[in-house]
Amino acid sequence: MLSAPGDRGPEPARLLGFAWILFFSAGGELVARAASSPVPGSVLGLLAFVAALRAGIVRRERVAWAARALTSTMGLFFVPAAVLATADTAAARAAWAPIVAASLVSLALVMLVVGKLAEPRA
Amino acid sequence: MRDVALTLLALGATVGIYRAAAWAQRRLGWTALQPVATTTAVIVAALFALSLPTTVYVKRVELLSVLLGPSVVALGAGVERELPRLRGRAARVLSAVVAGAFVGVVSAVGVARLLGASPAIVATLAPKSTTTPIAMAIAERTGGLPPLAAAIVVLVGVVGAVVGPSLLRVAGVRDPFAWGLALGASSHGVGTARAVEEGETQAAASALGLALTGVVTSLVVPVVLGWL
Repeated sequence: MLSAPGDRGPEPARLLGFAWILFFSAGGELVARAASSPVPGSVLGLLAFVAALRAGIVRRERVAWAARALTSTMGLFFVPAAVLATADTAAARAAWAPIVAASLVSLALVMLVVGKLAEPRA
Repeated sequence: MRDVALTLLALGATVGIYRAAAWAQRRLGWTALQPVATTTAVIVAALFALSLPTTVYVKRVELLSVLLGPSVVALGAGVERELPRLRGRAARVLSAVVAGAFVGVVSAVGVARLLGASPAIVATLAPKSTTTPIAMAIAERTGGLPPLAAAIVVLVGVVGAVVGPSLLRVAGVRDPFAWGLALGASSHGVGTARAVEEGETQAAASALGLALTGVVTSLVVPVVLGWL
């Protein structure tokens, strides 16, 4: 789960990759807070991180391992929120029909719209 | 000392259960057996058996929630790697994702309103196409319920990852890039995990769809909630 092929960097270099990602994450949160941005801090951090990689400010191979480690374990970081959601189910139970209907209709529409529009014209 | 030990124990147990759940999913080959859902079920059952309140557990594993943001930022590495592949089709991809995010928010809000859901539930459903940390952040800003938003996102992701490939086949979506983009845009992280099984192009396109949808949705939700 935590190995990226072609990445044989020594341990300190791998840790540096984590530091870069945490730095962009913190920066995104701070800017979102300061600017009361409608876009969440994590998304701002992602955009800045992409720009920094493009511009060569952050070297790709330095962050490859840390990025792979974090994204491949993303599911684990959802667990506390999912457990918390089971604690207070009153709202969900009271409105289960609109929740399920809206979720499924919207899911199918998004999938079809994006898939059909992105498909290259023959 | 006892405090530190309990925190480490809770973290260790969570990571261990998650790894076992991921292993079970691969071993059985059931996409529907999502590690997030399995792990949550096991932990909730364990807390119930031990008569421990969920809030005590959640406080102990706060570190995991803190790492949600960085895991979203980390997606940027995959997105950046995929940017050259966008040459010549950037406009089509971007318009597909923008249209998808818009349709996603409007349809979720519209159906929920039609069925008489409360404003809090509507605001909770609006960001449902995005990945959990983004959906929770959006729900928090718009008067929704972040934990319920997280649960809805997991539900949408699991259904999308399981049913999505058949839906896209029936709809005639054959291009691997379009396929991945659609899965990531509609089913976020769980859809991306499914796309990884398909191939490199599908996985990268899915990460791109997930990231772009997160950005566009966070901008669209406040606007649509203002209109409808």
